[in-house]
Amino acid sequence: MAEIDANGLSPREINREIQKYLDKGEDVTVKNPKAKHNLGIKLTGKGRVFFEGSTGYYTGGFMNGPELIIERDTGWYLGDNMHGGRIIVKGNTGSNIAPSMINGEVIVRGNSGSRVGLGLKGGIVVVEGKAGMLCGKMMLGGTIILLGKAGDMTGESMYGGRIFLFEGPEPGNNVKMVDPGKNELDEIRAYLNKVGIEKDIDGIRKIIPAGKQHRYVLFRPMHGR
Amino acid sequence: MCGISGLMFKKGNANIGSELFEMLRMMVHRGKDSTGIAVYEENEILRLSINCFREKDVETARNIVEKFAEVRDKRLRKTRAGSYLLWFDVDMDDDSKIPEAYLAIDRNPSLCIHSFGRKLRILKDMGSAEDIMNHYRDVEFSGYQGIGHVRLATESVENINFAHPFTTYLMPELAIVHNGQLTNYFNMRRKLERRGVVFKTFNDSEIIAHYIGYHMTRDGWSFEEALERSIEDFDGVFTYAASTPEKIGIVRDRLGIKPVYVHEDDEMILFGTEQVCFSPLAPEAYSEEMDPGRVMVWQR
Repeated sequence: MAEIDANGLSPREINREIQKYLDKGEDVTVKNPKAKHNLGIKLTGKGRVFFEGSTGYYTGGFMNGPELIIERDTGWYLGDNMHGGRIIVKGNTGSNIAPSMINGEVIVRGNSGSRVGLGLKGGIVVVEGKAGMLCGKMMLGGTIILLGKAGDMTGESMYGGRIFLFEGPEPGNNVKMVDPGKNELDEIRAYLNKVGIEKDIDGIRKIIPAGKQHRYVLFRPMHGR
Repeated sequence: MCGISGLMFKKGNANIGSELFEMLRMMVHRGKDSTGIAVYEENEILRLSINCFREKDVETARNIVEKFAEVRDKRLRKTRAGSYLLWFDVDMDDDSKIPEAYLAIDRNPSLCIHSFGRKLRILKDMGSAEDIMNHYRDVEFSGYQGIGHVRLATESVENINFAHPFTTYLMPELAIVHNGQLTNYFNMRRKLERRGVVFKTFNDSEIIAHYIGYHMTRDGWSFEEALERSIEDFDGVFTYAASTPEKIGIVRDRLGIKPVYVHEDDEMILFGTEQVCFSPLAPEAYSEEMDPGRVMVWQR
């Protein structure tokens, strides 16, 4: 497999090198990423990119297509505005992962910080370990699956989408907790099987918006038009 | 936006000054208005670090110091900010007089104490971590724990005396570094000033040092208690690190807006605003983000 040594290269140079290999349809390993920021930004095409270490903020932002595998931890805003593809993090992540993600998959095998899937629009986010508070805050669509202990205020002010989690944390405002249907459970099981996560999801519950949308009353002047 | 970092060795000493600067150098994108470190050395020499902007104030400083203590050694050097940094090694019979002496010097508007302690040494100056490493190449600190800060001034002026770390005359061996904004700074400052606390700068971070120092010395709170209660009392978004010769603690606000990562292994404890700052010391670190509204304290 092709290799890139990230030592001494700027994030822009590293991303350009990765893109060259992806364009040729090759997989690539990035050595010594040393928690640098902005790695894997706006990558396109098909192929797999291995990061042998930790990456920093905004890993995989605006990405469309490839699969990133990160051996250790990542920083904040993992998969920011991602359009497609898959990110697998074997360690822990910072806060605000998959913010405004449009489509694609983010899978965290370790723990995550606060606000998982902030403003999520589509795609799937899985956190196998612990997740912080305010998961799925203001999300518009997509699916979040929290397999470990989730923080409080999950689903705060969400407009759409669904969050699967085990009972325990206090849900946010304007949401309701329901039992998922059999089809949905099968779908989740099949997905977790596909990505190789072995976890019993019996008793998992679902958070969806309570359906009460905010009503904005237009301001009307008292006199005249 | 600022960056904080810190480390504590579980055993032994190291060249902690250069290691902290190496960590801060990785976070230069978080601010290069000023950079500073506070380290704790094993030796017990009472050392004073005073900053003044005019050459004639050097004599003033010496005169005040000599009222309280016997000066053993004196060094003077120019900072990157264009001011004069004075280092005094002094002898003092009674350590309980240190707060009084600290305040007497700090009350002079043309002088500003950076550190005054037996173990605590602070070096702070304008510029990025790399600039300061080059400027103070001959200065070495061998110690067991320390905290550091890179500053991007948002709340107050760019000035060497407004750089972090901050200390307090109430508890001279305490140092703090802070990332964030304290939105109730003026209310809190008024509260403390009514109780007689004297402030030196208009930097909102300075209040953290006075808050911890005041409540630990006057109200008998423990270090852990002071940090726990600060989460309730301070408003805004912040993470800060506080350190005494024995303990190091980090505090994160309840909303978790400001990041802080923690890594612990057999040899050391590392924390920092970004994981990237661990890479010079522990490139293989598995770090985790600290929970919002939590306090972590380590004792050597």
